[in-house]
Amino acid sequence: MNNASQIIDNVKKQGRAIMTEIEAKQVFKGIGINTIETRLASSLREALAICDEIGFPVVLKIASPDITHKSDAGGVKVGLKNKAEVRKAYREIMESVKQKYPEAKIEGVSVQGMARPGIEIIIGMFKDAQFGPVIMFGLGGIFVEVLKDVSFRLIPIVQRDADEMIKEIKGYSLLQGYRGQEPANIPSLVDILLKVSDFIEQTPEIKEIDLNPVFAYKDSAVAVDARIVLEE
Amino acid sequence: MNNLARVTQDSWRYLFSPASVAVIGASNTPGSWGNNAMKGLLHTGERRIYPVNPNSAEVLGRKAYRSVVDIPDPVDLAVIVVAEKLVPDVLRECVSKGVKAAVIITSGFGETGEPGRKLEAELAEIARLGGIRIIGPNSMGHADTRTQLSTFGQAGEMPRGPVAVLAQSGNMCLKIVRNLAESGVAFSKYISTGNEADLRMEDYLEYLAKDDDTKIIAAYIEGLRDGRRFFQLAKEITVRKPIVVVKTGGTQESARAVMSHTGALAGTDAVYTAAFKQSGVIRVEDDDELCDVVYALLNSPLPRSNRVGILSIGGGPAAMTTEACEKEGLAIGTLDPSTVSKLDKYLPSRWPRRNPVDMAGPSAAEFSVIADLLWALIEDKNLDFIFLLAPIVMDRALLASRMGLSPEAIKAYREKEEKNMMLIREKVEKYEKPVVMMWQWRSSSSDPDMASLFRKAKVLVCTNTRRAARVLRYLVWYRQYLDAATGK
Repeated sequence: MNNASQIIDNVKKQGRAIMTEIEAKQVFKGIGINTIETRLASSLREALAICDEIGFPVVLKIASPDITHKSDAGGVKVGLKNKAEVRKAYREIMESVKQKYPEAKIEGVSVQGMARPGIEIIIGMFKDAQFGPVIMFGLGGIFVEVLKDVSFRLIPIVQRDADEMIKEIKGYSLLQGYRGQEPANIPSLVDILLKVSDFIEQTPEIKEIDLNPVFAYKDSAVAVDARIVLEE
Repeated sequence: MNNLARVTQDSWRYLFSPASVAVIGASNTPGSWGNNAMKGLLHTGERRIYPVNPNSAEVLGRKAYRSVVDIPDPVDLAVIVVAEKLVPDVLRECVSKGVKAAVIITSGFGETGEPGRKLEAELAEIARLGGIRIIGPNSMGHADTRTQLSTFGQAGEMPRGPVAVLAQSGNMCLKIVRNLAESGVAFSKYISTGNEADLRMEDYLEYLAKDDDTKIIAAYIEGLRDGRRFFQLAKEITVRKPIVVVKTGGTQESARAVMSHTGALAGTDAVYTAAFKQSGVIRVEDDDELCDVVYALLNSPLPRSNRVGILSIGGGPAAMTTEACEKEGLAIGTLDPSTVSKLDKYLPSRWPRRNPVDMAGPSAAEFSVIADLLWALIEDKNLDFIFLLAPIVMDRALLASRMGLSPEAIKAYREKEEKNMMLIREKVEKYEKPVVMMWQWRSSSSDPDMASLFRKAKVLVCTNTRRAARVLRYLVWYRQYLDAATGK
């Protein structure tokens, strides 16, 4: 938690409200949520060194506080299997971003290991005008976008609320393993919901959270991407 | 900031048990608000009533005053029915007169747009600075049966009862009150909260939490000003007193309708649903369901779980009810083997030995047979409540025509029925298992004796099993919430 508040203070000092993915993941890691590690490389050489450490395949993403929609900016390359591919991807990202966001401050690229595909989950938090902090749970991808298959609870939640909000979604049977697909480990998801709830209760300066996606496996769950927005 | 100040007990006392009431805008014109309010107040309770009207010497035979400040005695409560432009000045006069509380019936405020919103904010400010608490504006009135006070313009004695109704719509308030009253339900208080410029839904809820006369709270809500406070209050209240809510504004156009009605910001409907669930508030779909659930809470125990036993006079009603229950997420209970052996004694050998149980034969006259079957189902540990689809009570007209009974014979028949119903009641209470009877709807019954019989027996009655199944689903949900909330 201490770590989290240091990161938040630091972001505030810089006059920002939106955390970078790297910062957000550090915060979540600090409160005990399993995340796919993402590290900042300020040069191609650093990026290659990180790859040596974490192994292939990797994902490269543009690291810039000014760019929130990284994919649209051509700033995301996935499934990079070796150093040659990383070099090529790095060059392409930098060219595309410079062209589309010439004014953006570029910190480098984030290097991230590839998560083994799992059931895509979305966990979020926002503040409702009448009820204050609300936590959201849903299946990711088209389930949240098209079918709006999500459930809500006011923060703070207890274990029973977390259990209920998972069971409440229409796609719950998908979590139990559909057509031989790997089921999702419900206790791991409950654990994330409870940790987010606790964290928000203790950290009122957070305005919005997105853990999207979280990959759920039969024995664990991991946050693949993370976003935190602070109150202005 | 006004609402952060907690409403004092004194303000509530002046609102609900005023010794004197001024009707500002009192009128001799029949049908006008100012006339209705006067008539209602003159015909309920014992208190001093002062009409205020600068253009009449008297209203309904009472000396009228030019202004509230001209009234020689102290005034506890003002009922304000003047045109909206005049309301701020009238309210200021109330403050200078030392009036303690006001109900503003006048509409044309926040619900009409920006100028109205400004006028409403002005009222709130006058109230706050003057230390006067107000219901409304755009309220239809409030009523307290203990003190026999009604500003709704109704006349006549109001029976006392355990249900409080709060509604952000006067019409819905009266519709709910009338519907429940038809089923024999009586009230502690009911309040049309209007635009809630000063006193809000949350304030009333806090007050009713401590009101010993109120055992159940029913509310019609369009939008809350302080959802978090509602949530915290509801969480404390629902473990002792059920709260049943209809909340509108869940669809796009209804949210718009709500906005232009009381000017409340509807907020995210899904978040309301979550807040209600988490605080044990029973959220129902409409006012009919609200009345069904309130009636059931008053007249039936809460089922432990969702397993239904169905005892039917024939195959059709059994099939309809089974489907209705399943659609509402209730479980068709599996009969315990001991129950099957008990039923074997009373049913033809070809009976399918499963739930739903089709009696296939006995007529209504054979209550003894129905009773044995019913007791067997109520006693089954695998069943949490029973649907009884058999006419064990008969309409007076039916008794006279079909059975050719004389008035004396009908009376005797009724006594026998009552004895049977009381036997059912004993079992319902002993096993804490609701019994739902399929019948003409309790309120539309042509025979008032029957309706009272159902109430005496604590039997829930329905013509529509889908509707009854939904009520049971709400009861099961509430029981499970209570069990979890109280650590059972």
